Amino acid sequence: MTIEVSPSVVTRDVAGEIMLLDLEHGTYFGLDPIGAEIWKALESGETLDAVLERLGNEFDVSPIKLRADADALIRDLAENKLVLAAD
Amino acid sequence: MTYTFQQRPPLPLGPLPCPPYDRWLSIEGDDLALFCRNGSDLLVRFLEIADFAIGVSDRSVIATPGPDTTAETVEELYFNQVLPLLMSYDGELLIHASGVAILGEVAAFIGPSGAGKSTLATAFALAGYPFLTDDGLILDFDEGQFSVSSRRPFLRLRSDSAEALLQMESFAEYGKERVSAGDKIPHLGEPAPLAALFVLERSDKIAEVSISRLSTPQAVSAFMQHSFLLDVEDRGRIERHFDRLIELANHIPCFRLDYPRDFARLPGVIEAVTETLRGKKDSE
Repeated sequence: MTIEVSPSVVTRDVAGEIMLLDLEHGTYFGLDPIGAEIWKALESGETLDAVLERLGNEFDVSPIKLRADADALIRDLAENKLVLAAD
Repeated sequence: MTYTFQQRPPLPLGPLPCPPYDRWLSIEGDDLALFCRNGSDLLVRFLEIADFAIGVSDRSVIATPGPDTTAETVEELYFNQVLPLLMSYDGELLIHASGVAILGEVAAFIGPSGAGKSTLATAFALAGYPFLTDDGLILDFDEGQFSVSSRRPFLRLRSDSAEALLQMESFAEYGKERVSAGDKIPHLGEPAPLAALFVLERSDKIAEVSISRLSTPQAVSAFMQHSFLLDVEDRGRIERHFDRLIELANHIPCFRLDYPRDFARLPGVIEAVTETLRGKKDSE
């Protein structure tokens, strides 16, 4: 599954974190460093599986925990209409 | 920019012209104001109090009070709430905050209606720290420094605050009493540099005064929540506003302030806030 970033979202780097602002719905969201990496990868068009494989190599975190955290983040982002799922 | 304001005679407030696109909530989560479109103009309704029809193209405001609303209340709402919305629309940075001068700089207290902004401004003024504004804090950024503008020398207090702090027999309209600055309640009539922002929290079981530093992203989120924004569907203005709030959070420390809502504890709040500002000055 490919996750696409909503075109109405703008991002800003704020003190090392990424903040998202959805201009259509007026919602805003802060991402921690791993969340920020996931977001940057999604923006560049990487699939979620590819992102997680790369992050698993870069960060000292188990693949299971990484997958669970990523799934929770994507759910949050989708509920707030900041990303769109596409097959 | 020139803004014009006029009041019509009181009338029962009719149905809204269309579903609201935005609303303001009190700290208890109740609707305080609804924002609607009326053709190319906007309508802001303060529930059961007054309608403000805003002509966006000519920056005009026409207020229609409800049958039981005084002209003074309408005037207060215009200067503290509606005018800040228009100024924000024109690119100025305003947030829902009161401001007091401590050690030559301003401490701003941010929060929704009912959070304690005016009560804190009054308590600080009674302790000798003059207030600059009761709400609608105007921030200017010049040569790398944020400053706070002085606004009208009035405070609007809930009746319990007016009675406890000023021993006033309250005749508060819609729960708010207008209090003028004077010898006991000093007002600073000139701008002053901004030292720190305090986001007011209201935890149920807080026993002591608590002040903790917010991260920059947390501060931006708090500023977004408590900003004056006339049209939340205007993407260009929201994006510019977001960038100004990031600039504010990058320059000014922001704290979370929580304390027991007990008037007898206010001296402790004053002491904790002034200590925080002293600590900030010492570290500079």
